[in-house]
Amino acid sequence: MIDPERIEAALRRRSDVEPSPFFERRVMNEIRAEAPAPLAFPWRHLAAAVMAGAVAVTLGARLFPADSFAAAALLVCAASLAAVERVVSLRA
Amino acid sequence: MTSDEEDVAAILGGDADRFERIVGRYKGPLMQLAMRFTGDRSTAEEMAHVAFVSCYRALGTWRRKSAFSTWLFSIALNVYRSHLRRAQPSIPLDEELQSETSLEETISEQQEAAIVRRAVAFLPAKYRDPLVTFYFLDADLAETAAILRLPESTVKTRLRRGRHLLAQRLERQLSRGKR
Repeated sequence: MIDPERIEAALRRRSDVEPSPFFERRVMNEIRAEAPAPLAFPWRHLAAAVMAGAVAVTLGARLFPADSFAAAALLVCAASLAAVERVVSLRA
Repeated sequence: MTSDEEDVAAILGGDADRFERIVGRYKGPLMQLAMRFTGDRSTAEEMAHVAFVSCYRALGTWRRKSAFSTWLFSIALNVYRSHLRRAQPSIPLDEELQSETSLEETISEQQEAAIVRRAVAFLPAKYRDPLVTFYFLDADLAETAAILRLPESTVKTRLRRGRHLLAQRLERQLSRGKR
């Protein structure tokens, strides 16, 4: 029976292999060709927009009669979709 | 703020050249990790290259919930796995193994490690990936689960079964060597 500790030691053992000397330069050439730098995903803006939408819908439900509320809800949905589209286009 | 976080902030701020520091810090580990999946040095280098470019493209999605290295290794593993889906793993050549060498006949720890790694490379992916991540990256169970995006209980089970399967295969190789 093979000693499991020997197997684990073999699995942990690292070799000394390193990439070739020009590896970094090749990667960076491709990165620079890709410029501009990636954008930070605007998680906070997106979360704030969703929260604002939720608050608006809740307030609308309390303040307006059913028909007016439905119209207001549609407006909020359209505004939210526009915000999401803006975020997605920023990422593209 | 760690040096990784500082560099990522600078890159997201428009200084793409700061990515060179990240490449410098992680080129060795990513290359060695790639060598666990393929024995071919130039293929491993190409895989590491693709992993760094993928990391750069996705940099804005790192949410700092996990360490940068955990996130980077997770991306690298995805790149390596998708590469292996297209190409079967080749027999690792890094230690210039003789294919008929058995575990019993090994003359050095280095050769023994190479035999074990070769056996790991040919395990089914669902056992190979947890074994490589857990042992090579010296990750704990939680970190392995985060890198592989699997529940800890699943990783635990796969590690146990993977070790068992690996031992069986090495045992078979050993008994073949005795004949």
